[in-house]
Amino acid sequence: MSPCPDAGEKLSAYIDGELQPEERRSLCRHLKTCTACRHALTTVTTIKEMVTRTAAVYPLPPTLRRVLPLASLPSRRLAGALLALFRRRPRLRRRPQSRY
Amino acid sequence: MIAEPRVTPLARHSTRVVPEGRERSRDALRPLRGYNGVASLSYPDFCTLAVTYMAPLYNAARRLTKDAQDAEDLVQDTYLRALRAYRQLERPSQCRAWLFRILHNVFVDTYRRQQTVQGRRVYDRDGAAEDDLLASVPDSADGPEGQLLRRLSQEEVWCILATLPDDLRNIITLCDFDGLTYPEIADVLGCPLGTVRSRLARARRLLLIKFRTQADSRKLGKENPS
Repeated sequence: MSPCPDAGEKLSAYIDGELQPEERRSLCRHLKTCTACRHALTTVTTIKEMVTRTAAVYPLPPTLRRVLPLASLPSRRLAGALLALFRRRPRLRRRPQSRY
Repeated sequence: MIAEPRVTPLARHSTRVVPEGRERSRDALRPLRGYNGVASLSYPDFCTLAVTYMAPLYNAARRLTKDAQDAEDLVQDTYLRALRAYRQLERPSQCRAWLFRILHNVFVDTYRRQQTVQGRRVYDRDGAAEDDLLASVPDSADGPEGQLLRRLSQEEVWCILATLPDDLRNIITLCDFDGLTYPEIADVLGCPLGTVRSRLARARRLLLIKFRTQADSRKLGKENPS
């Protein structure tokens, strides 16, 4: 049982909360009468949950973590410290001339 | 007869008088400087705001480069570019999308070119194969299928995500991993809002097909252990 042809985009935007109010109302009215689109909504929601679940959160490396305490400095000192830190920080590795 | 140069509104704060033919270059700068003709944030305030986005930027950089050291370099280059061009930020509320856009642009300009063929995935934008797949397999929305799909492990889902074409994978990660809104994604990728909607829908439909294929192959593997 396939959903309605133009429902795919609207369902995807609906679960992301990106539909305009009028579009959302229209879709809700449609979902009350269309079983195929209701099932498609369940499936798209499942897809989004599965993808979101795999989001890895990487901890900041020490060299970048050093910047965060600077945020407590007065703004002017932070600005100078940030620029100096990024300019002075060496590249972690030098790239070879050619990698092909 | 020589046209008398006139003082343009932008020049009223300086003593410089802009000749008739030169004012166009000043007007071109006007939108970059914000509504009042000055940057929307002072430099120190911009730094305070920008630092708060370092962790999500690093996560996005890790997903793009797939390498911790490259991700650090990418974040460094992003901040350096942002600090130099902070005046281009029109509103503080756009800071997150603006930084993500710089990150993506720096990645495309610098790092994607250095990907090698051997040992690392070459990013290609050819979605022709995926388009055929989308066209050939009808969509099906059975409820119990959701339960079958949920049995896929996180590693399997991650591997399938990596097989998506670049443009679809970027949109999915910006939306579902980084939590950007559609207008922010459109700003980061430099595409219309309608394109974001259609690509997201297409990406999710393609993921459904790939997840279903993977789930079916696991089911067949269990039924035929040989």
